[in-house]
Amino acid sequence: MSTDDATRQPDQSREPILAVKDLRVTFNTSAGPAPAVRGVNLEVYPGEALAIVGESGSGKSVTMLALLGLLTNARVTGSAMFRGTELIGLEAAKLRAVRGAQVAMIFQDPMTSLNPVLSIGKQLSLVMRAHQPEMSKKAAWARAIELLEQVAISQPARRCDSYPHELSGGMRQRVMIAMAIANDPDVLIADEPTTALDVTVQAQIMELLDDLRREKHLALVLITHDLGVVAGSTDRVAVMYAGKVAEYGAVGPLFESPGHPYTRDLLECLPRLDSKQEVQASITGIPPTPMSLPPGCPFSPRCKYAVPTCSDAEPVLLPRGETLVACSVLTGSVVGDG
Amino acid sequence: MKRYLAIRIAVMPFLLLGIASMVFVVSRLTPADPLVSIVGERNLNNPDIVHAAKQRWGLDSSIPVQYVKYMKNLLHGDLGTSFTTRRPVLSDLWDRLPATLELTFAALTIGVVFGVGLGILAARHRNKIIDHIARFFALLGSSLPAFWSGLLLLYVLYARLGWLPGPGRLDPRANPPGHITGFYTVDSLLHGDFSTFRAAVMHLILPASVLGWGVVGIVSRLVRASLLDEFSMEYVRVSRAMGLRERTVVNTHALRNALLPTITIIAFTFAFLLTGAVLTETVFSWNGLGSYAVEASRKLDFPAIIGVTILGGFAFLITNLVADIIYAIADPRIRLS
Amino acid sequence: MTAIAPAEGVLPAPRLRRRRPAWLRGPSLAGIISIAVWIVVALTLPIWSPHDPLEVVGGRLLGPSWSHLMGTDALGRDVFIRTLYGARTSLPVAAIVIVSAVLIGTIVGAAAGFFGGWIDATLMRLVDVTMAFPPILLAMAITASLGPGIRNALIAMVLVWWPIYARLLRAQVIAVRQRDFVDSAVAIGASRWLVLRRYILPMSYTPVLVNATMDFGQVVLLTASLSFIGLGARPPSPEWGAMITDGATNFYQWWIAAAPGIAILLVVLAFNFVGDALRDSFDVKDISR
Repeated sequence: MSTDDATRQPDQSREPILAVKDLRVTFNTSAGPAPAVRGVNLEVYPGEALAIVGESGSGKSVTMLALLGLLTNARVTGSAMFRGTELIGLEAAKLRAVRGAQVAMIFQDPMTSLNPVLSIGKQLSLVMRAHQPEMSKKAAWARAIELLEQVAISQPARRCDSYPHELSGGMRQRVMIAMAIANDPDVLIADEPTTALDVTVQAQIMELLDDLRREKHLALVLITHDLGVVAGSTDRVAVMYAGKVAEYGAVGPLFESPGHPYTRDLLECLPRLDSKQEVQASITGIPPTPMSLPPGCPFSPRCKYAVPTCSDAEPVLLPRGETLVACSVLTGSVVGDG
Repeated sequence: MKRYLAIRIAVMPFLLLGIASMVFVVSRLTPADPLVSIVGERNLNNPDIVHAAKQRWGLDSSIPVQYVKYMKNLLHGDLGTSFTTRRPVLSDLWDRLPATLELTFAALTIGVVFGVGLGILAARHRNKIIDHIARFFALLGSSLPAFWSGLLLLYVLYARLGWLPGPGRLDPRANPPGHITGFYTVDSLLHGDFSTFRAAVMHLILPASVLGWGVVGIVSRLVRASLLDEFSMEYVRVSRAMGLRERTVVNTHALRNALLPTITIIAFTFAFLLTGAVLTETVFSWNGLGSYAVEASRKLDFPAIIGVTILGGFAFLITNLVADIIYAIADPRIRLS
Repeated sequence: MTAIAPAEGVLPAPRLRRRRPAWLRGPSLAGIISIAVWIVVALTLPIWSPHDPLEVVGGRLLGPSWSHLMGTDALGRDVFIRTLYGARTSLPVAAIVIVSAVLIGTIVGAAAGFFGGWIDATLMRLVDVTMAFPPILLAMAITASLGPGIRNALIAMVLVWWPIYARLLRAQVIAVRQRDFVDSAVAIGASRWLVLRRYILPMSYTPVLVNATMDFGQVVLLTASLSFIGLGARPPSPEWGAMITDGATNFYQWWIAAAPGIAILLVVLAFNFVGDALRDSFDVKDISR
């Protein structure tokens, strides 16, 4: 896991291509409103790789789904500026033009992400022709073959005629990636792209995503629960907990001197080759649900460093060292409305 | 899958045998002399007919011998002679078949087209007012006695308003087109007789709608349910995330999958249609198998009843098989395995 | 955003509103009420009915009026009263058919599923063959063979309907038999009969109930259909299907056919509403047809 800092530094002097401000998502459930995302701020710069890390239910996927308008039965507020366009509340047709064409998203399970009864070529063509209606079916098919070649699928022409069930999991995820880059997007959101795959295939897919990012200069947002995947392939990290960002910063400092106790715990859970530990650590307790948030800092019930004042107020993100940390013990902040 | 279909085809003869045997048992259920059920009450006094029938159906011999004889006759396509028409039942059935098929196909078309449409609407507007109306409409379709709704619609649309023609396949004085397929719509077109074609279509509308309504109910409920299943699938979310139009997501992606189970239900629907045809044809004086069966039942014309029943069973079996084959062709997962 | 959730005990525990089950709301509730009203009417009718269903009450083919809500038929009988009396045929007939079909189907299906082997194979082929016929045609053939009449129509419908429940029960028995608790019951020495009665049959009640509710309406329809054809109840008995036949002969006196038709529609629709809601709330797959 080498970190080539020279190429990893995002071009922060430029404007972010995607800026999320105070994004909140509340699901309407039969048991009442469930705040799944509670004020998230994030920036994505052109060509960089940003990781959003957190346990399931931390709101990391929901944040991204919300800004693409892919949630039903949810109230979304806040702002998400993409190249000067406000995505939140954007009318359906305009949002659809952004989805897939400028911001593409791939999902966790390549087994179910493809339609079982349509051929690979047909599904790729549909995605292209959704944004380029003038493209002929023939041209789309030819481009589909090219795309499969780009994602390193052998015999691409033959694979275009195949159906999803004839491909392996890794190949299907490659097809998904081909679909995502079909319209040359600027941002690619990858939601747990390797979780459902074999370990050996995981590395290949990450490598492919990394290559594509460099080649096409696209910004990659990697959503994952696995900090191990993050280290080698991203520039910056946002650690999410209970619908909020707990720590936010460049990958190097965050790994070397993690601030937030939650980040530390996550790092301790990583299996390390150089570790002398016999037993792998794990975080005690379970993450809170949106319906049962503890008072004050949501992590405090599981936190090793918690003090009584932690339950008084919810901490906000403040600089500590080279990262931003939401922990009142570390930053000395107990006031504020997150 | 090929093996499955092969097995299905291989057991067909046995099922057919089973159907024929069942009908044999039913025909011997009658508490009276089975002879009555073969020659009819009136002919009992005619020794020639009685003798001939006894000879042909082996009524003098034991039940097993009768059974064998019966099966042999059946194998030769001999279903006996109708008392009322005094013709071989098989040729009666053959003459009546096109009328029923024409009506059933028309009803199936109406049922599937409207059923799929209504199902899509209901699924896209789940739990909204459109969904509730669709649900009510569907339930109404399977709750209405076809013989009654037909009567009522005839009264309103024909007798009162005069918008549609009365019962029958054509006006009573009109000549049917020359027999080619037996479908009046097709035959009139083949003869280039457009006024007859128009009349045939107008006569079809009401009975086919009455018959098709139930199908609308069955199909729309199924399409709704399977579309909702598909909507919760990951690939639908992916298609949306890729910026596909909602129309494309529904029609090209989800509907394909949702319609697969519908193919199977159409086979079941066929049984429903046959059932409905029996009653609808009676109300609309439609000269098909259904009204033939009803006339036969009213006059206790046993060979005719038995004949229609066997044909119905056969037709049901065959449509089921055809549905399985179509299903296998339509689903690439099965087709290629 | 301070104090998102107050400390425990400050607010009352989240109110878990117990909603009425789906089959006790909306159309389904209307269906249940409608069925109840029909049953009460059918039971008490002779006590308060102003006329006998066979009684000639006035002129022939009179249109609807306050004294005869749905007019009179070709013989001058009150159509409305006759329609109400029709429930005294249709409801008990359908109930007997469903109960008999469920009983026979349960015994055959449970036996087939439980014993397996050649018993299963034989019984299920019988089921397959019976279900290979469109129900109305087989019912017509059987009724015609036995001789027309409501009693024989009833027997025919039972013979046509039991296989549905046999298939249902067999599938249930096989599904339940593979569950662990049945294995353990057998392991501790429970007899087959006990296992069947104590463990397997109770698990089958729900799907049987749902299907029976849906089928009740269908049997009412089939009874009327057979009578309409002339194989079920014979005139002059006030049966809905037979009354519609009267209506068809007096085509222009719409009320004669309208009243019994509406009665059929109301009863069948009621059962369908209830059955539909039951199926949704118990998530039972409709395997019958």
